[in-house]
Amino acid sequence: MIAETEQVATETAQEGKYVYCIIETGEPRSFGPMGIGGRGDEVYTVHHRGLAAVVSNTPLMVYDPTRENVFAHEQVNETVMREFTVLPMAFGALFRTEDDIIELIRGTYDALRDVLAKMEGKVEFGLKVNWDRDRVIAELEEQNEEIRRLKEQITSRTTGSTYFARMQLGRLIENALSDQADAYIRDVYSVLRDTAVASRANKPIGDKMIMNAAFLIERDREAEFDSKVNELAAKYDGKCAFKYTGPWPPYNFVHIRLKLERGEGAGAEAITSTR
Amino acid sequence: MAVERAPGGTSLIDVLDRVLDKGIVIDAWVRISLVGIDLITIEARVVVASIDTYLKYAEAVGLTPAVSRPALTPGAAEPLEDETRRRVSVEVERG
Repeated sequence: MIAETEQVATETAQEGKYVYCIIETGEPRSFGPMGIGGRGDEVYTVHHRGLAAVVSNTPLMVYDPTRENVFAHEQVNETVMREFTVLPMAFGALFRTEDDIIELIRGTYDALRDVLAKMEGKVEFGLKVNWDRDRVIAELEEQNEEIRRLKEQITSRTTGSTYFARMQLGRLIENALSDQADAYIRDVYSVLRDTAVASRANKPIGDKMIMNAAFLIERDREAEFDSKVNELAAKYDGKCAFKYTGPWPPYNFVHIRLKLERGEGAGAEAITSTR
Repeated sequence: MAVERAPGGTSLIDVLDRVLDKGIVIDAWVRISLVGIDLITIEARVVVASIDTYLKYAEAVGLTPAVSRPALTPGAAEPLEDETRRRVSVEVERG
């Protein structure tokens, strides 16, 4: 019975299931015709013992992470998130049949239950902080006597090399900037930490960004977190720009890595990634 | 000045930053499983790490390692420790 759907499918028009996330519900649900692939496939649930995978039909193919595709993935998760605590799947997880998905849930059941319980009622927010480097340097110059003194020395000197003085000044500024970034980051965390369940620091992108963090927040403390972020943005107005996003599914706080192994009798039809 | 909170799925970079390798990740070799799959090596980890990760973060952001910074702030514990360590190593070299 299990293999039947598979055999029916032909080489050219094989259909599979794209999985968006795992939620807890025993009731079949439908989330609208918003499936990945642009065909208007219905997004629905596949169940096993009180857990469900949110899926849609799709041709069996490896999806590239194009703008359209990743937004489709994310949009489904955000829709589901309005009603459920979600464990988001990373982009691109395809299964051949519903039975495979049930097998996936069955095999990882305890872990999924455990993680779902931990994520219950929580959502993720992103916070990136970019600073205005020039403005911060100008401010450092005002505050730091040694920087001012060195600078004067360099500009007033009419003969001889200023190479070493300039080197010294550069190092001084670099260190002062680094200390300043640390101080800002510590301050931001100290303001937000009491409202957050957890936080995660990702690598800043580009040289203007000093902080790229994700926070896990209880839904009923969202407003509180909002106001703290706004408080910080006001405090650092002009010096740092805050980029605040969410609510997100808790991507940064759910780490489940699955390695699938082929069972007996499996053919060589698995589509492997070319990347 | 108020900061606008943008809904999740508005910036491609922010979405990519999350969906590509976070959440439930299925091994990249096999994107499509087959009926009868033997599940599975599973490695589940929930990151509800201490919020103190910010200390590590602060380090990562530093443009120079802490050791080479001039000890402008007396009373900071770290530079003192480094001093001690350095002194010890010098002695060893001499001996």
